[in-house]
Amino acid sequence: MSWMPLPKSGGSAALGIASLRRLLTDLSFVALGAIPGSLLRWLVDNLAVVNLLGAFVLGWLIATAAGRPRAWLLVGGVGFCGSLTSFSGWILALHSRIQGSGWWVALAYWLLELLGGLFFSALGMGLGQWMQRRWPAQLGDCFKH
Amino acid sequence: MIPSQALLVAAGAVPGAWLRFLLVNHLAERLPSRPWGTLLVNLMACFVLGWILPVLDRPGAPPGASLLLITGFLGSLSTFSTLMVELLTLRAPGAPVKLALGSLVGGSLALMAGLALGR
Repeated sequence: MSWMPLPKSGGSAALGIASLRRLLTDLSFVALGAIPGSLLRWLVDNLAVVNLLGAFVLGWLIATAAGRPRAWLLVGGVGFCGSLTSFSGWILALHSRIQGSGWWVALAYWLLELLGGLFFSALGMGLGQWMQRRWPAQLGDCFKH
Repeated sequence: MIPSQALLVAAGAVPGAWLRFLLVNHLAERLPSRPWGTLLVNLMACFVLGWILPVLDRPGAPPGASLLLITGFLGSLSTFSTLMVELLTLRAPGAPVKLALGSLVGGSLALMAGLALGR
């Protein structure tokens, strides 16, 4: 199951100049999104808020990706949303809450963030699908490389 | 925002995101489905986080190492948003519940294993 039409880069043995260039372009796009994503997570300093925000944005990006350049998901999805949100921080928060407030409180917070993430991700997808119907992406080809 | 601190976060975040991108793409061709790759990268980040936390807590740990490695690298390596989308889009019956439980149990175990190693 692959919902993200991501390019296959670097995986195969056939690593010619063309695929090396493609890989380097991909990595630049990912870095371009990862820098603002990580800085925003650091500045907001509230993991639940950025995790829910990232879930919403990624849902929206995926729903609006059809007909747009590859950079759409590489910069926005893999780079920005991937770096903005953090799984390890979520698990660490669960661990600290177990020690601070006990099992049930910790699990309740964990579950709340999970349900919130699902809700905001679905909300972003719904909004994206609506926008895609209303204003179909047309800039597609002019950015393709 | 102190520029030198922001630089540390960004300098850790870029290789973290690159590693996630390359590993997930690499694993997607070898594992039955994409969520396996994301899960593996997430668990890896939990393990390293548990291992590195006590190490950076010791006196004499270089200042800024936490921003570079934890906020920057590990924060970017692991992802919550992709997991949410995968949970929403998995079609096989029971698969979303298994992935959520696997993330919870696996992430906690990986973190604790890391903590045990780092102490």
